[in-house]
Amino acid sequence: MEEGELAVAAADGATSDVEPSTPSTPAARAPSVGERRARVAKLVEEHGVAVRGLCVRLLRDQSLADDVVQQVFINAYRDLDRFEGRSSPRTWLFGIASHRCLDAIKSRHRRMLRIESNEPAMLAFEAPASEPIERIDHARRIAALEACLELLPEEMRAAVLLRFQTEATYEELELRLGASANTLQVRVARALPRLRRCLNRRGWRLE
Amino acid sequence: MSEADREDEVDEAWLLARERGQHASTASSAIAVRYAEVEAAIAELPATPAGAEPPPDWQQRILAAIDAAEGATPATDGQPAVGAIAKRRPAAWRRWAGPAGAAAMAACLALVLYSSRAQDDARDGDIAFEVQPASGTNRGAEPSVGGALIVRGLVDGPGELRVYNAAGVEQARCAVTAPDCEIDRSGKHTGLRLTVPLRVSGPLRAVLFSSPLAGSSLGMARDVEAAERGGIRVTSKEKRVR
Repeated sequence: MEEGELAVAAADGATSDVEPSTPSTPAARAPSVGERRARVAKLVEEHGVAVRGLCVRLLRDQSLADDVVQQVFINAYRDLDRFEGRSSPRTWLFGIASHRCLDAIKSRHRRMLRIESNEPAMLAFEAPASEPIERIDHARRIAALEACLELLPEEMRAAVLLRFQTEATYEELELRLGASANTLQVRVARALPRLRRCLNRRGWRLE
Repeated sequence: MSEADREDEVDEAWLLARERGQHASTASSAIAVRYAEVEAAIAELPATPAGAEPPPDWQQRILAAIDAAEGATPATDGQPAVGAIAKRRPAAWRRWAGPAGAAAMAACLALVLYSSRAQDDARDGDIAFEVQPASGTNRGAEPSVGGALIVRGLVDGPGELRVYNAAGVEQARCAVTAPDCEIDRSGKHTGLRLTVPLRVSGPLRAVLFSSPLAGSSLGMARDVEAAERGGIRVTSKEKRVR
């Protein structure tokens, strides 16, 4: 993507008029504090809800998610000059958010002095369905999907959400999530059959 | 290995090839159809999960945190006021208030009243936290024992920042320049930066006074009461130490 094409290329629903920085332009001047704040305020307005939603889904703790979201936008404010528009604002923010959330998760794990194994999640995946349902309504499908996503290990969940909720390439995700593209591809490929099986057990027939 | 497990393995291999951009097998169309619906559903998940609606002023809190952390000046074109950061989340408030007892609850009620008043001012009463992790640990968003919590306050007036534990006992303060207290006065605004070493877990409450309180702390409740009597504006914000 060429610089300046940001708004057009924001295929994930972003309609931000937040301009990418143009550090290579000799005449470019650094934005004032007020301009930077206005840009970030625009990002908060346009993408804050989605970023918060991602953090709630990753952390499963609204209070912690709200704290992390604050840090995400403080990061965005600091890094605004380095955002060059190679990805959409939403992808950029989701990348920062995922990294921050996974840091918070690691911190939480250390605090709990135990390593969460995937075993409980897998047991839940294997749990029998309460009742077979041929067709379930949209709200119940969403609820089933949310529940099944929760059962994925956090890093797998982050990979899946970023893969399908942004237009980011694996190369971009690699930088943001601190894992190789290969690892992220494996996480996505492993997650989908788990999700499918979980959803089937919850009455959402995916054939 | 069950039939379902074998099917998952086949699907996983195909999905991995697809994610790597490699040529898909002849079974691709059937498998692609199988996952297209769930992939679309993930893409179209509501931005806010059910039951996780943000509090009404959460965007203002974010901007206030940025202002406090970076010293940004709110824009004049209708940007939200920053004082909203001092408003507490009810859940955090309840967690903190329990062990503090009735006296602390009364004090916090006073803080809420003052926090509401502080929102009328575009810069006054802004508190933000920054976590300094313990050496040898990875950076994290949460403060933990062994690390430090940096509390920043921005206030109209000379200002004083104090940090209390759940029992209302003062843990640290910033009113005059010291190794753990940096003060930046610019016009009528004062930026305070207090570094608090974290030795025990539990909630900490940062309280920002618009003017310094005289003398030693008598406990958070009585400090706030004294401030109230003196017409000093008070805002506060809690952080839990893990």
